[in-house]
Amino acid sequence: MQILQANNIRKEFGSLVAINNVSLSLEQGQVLGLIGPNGAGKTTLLRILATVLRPTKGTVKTLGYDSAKEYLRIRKHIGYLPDFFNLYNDLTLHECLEFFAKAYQVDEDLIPQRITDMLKYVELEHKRNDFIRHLSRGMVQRMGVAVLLIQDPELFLLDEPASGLDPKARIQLRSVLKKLSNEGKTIIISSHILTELSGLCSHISLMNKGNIVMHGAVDEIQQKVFSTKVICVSVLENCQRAAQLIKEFPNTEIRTVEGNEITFEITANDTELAALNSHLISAGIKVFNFGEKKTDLEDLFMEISTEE
Amino acid sequence: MLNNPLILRYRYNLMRPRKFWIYVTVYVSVIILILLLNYIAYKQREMFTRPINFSRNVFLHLTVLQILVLCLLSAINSGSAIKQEVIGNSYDFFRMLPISASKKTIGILVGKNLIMLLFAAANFLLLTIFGIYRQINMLELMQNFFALICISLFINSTVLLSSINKISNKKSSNTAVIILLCLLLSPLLFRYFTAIDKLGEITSKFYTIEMPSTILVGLVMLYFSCWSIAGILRKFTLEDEPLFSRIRAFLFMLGFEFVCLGLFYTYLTKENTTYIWPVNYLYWLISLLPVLLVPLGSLRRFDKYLEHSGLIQDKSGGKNMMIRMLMYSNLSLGLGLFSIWIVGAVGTTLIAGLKLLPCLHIILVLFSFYLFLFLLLELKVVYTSLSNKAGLLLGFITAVYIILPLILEGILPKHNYFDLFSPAGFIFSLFRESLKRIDIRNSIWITNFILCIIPILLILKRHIYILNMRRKM
Repeated sequence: MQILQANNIRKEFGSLVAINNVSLSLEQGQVLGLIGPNGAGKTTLLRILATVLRPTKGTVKTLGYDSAKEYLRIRKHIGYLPDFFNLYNDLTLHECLEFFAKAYQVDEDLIPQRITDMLKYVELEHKRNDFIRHLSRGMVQRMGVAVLLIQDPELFLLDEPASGLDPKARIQLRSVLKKLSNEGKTIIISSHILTELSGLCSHISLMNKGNIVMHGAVDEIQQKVFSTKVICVSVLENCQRAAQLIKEFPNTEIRTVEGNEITFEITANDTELAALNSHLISAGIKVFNFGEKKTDLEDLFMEISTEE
Repeated sequence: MLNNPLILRYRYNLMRPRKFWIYVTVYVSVIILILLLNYIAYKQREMFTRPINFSRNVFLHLTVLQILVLCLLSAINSGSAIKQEVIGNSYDFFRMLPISASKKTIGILVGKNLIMLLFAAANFLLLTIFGIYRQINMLELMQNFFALICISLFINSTVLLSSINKISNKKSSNTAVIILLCLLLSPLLFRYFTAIDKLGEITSKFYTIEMPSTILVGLVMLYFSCWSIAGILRKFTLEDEPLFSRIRAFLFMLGFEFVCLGLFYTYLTKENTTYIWPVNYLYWLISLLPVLLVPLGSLRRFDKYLEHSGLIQDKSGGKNMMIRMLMYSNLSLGLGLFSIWIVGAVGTTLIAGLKLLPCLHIILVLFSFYLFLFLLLELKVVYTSLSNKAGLLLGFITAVYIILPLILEGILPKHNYFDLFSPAGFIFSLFRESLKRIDIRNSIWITNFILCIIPILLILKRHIYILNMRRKM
């Protein structure tokens, strides 16, 4: 089922074109990572999708509703976590969740249990009666997720949820997001910290200067960008000789030779890789490690940015 | 109503025992102070020789307190609600709440003022007790309460509307609105206090219908409160749209003219003609207020022009796009409002039995002032996207336009008509009868129309840019 369809969105702020003819679609259960450097237009795009901003041109359909005309309906079904948000500091966690539960018309009888469940989900049960102003930034971010969860939205829009968090808080938030992703929720999450999205997203859209430079499933894009494999070989001795032998092998290109480690790119299948390994060993090279270096989103981002 | 989630949210905060009892202590202390000070005065001073004087003064002081609670403190609360959301970075959550605009409005007006409403209710009770003791007619008392509630509703809704209409991070921007409203209503309140002993006897006429002044004031305030609330609902529902749609702006203007004429009608039709012309001009000036203020709250921004140019392109297929854009622009709103004002102004001139031709001449001059100022406003709209300091420059030009002729008048005493070239000077001169020379009036409107040429060209240039940009998209 299609959750979101955006066509040729353009957003201008005066003479600045923040988003330039961006089109995007999202199916139920997909987790889309919006990656891009600061100023790429991620926040603007998310705000448009969240119906908080109106595009200068283009249309957005969320859950079948036109965002220009039916944004109040859309808002009932989406959970949007802005980049710099705060919750009501003068309320306790319990009061805050009760307020949102009532606003989102959760069944009165279910509210107490729902609040308990959500606080457990984001691991803040022990802070139930504390004021929000007494929470750390990381806790506020998790509380933000709890506020969205209490609405039980069909689409989550999370704008840089981990920005400004310390490593521990980031790991805690990540585990919450991972849970959401595993539960099959439809999510769009933006970040410029690429490792934050690794292993979380099923799809990614790379944004730069208001454009979507690349969009697709993570595997597809990896395959598209990295048609060659990156292999790392560690040898006990004769490193230069080993590098020479690798270089002579078809479709290879040495990247680095550092100490006893050679990194090279190769366009080959598994059988050919096994043959290369045998060739090195039969030439008297003592290989103690031969493996493919997995690419993460950081590499992917750098690769695409370089291509750009 | 108490099921409103926003009321619940404010109730949690305001009704915490630690906070609540502090508010109650302050309120009770004020009441005790009022009673105590009046009692001491009653006992010590000769003027309070009769018990009725004691209750009269307590009633008066409680009324002052009630006005403070209902019109000032509650207005500060209402005006700060959205501002606090913006400053606290929770405004996006507020916007996303799937509750109706009316629930949001009631939630803020009632929820933010829960404590104030509680004190107001207690005050009304005390006022009733002392009113009865003072032998005030119950009907008169109820009329007073009605007027107070309506004034409070008007101030609160207007302050809330102003805070939504211009959302900013500045903490103080609503104070100006509250001060302005208080200044506007202060003559009314002054009259209220000076006549507090015989309020029931004071009547006013709306057209030919005579009614107690308190009722008339209450009804007028209620009418404008309805507009304020309609504005709030619109801003909560159509966040990106201007405060008034074109039709609403014209309806508001017509309604304002109707109410204004109703209040002035008696004075315009009086047989004693000595003061008819100043009354007529006063009506003109008061009814000019919405012509000036409505566009300020209803300006279509540059990005709206861009957005609309796309629709025009799709609909018209590229034909007459400039005319359509100008029709969509703020200029058409300004001209429309001024046209309605002209109808009202001509109407009152005829009702008052004044000569039409000189009045039309004055209207032409007023129009030339209005046009130039409105063009400056439109320049701000279309050029702010190029430089955010465009408004500063245009504000400076406006200030020079208004003030320079007044200064010239001061330093060039032989040419004592310079002040007429300033809109402010011209308006004052309406009451001085210094406008008799037709050649001066002609030179004013001709000068203004010449001044309008450059802004018109600059605006057209910007519209051409918009249309070219749209074609390239």
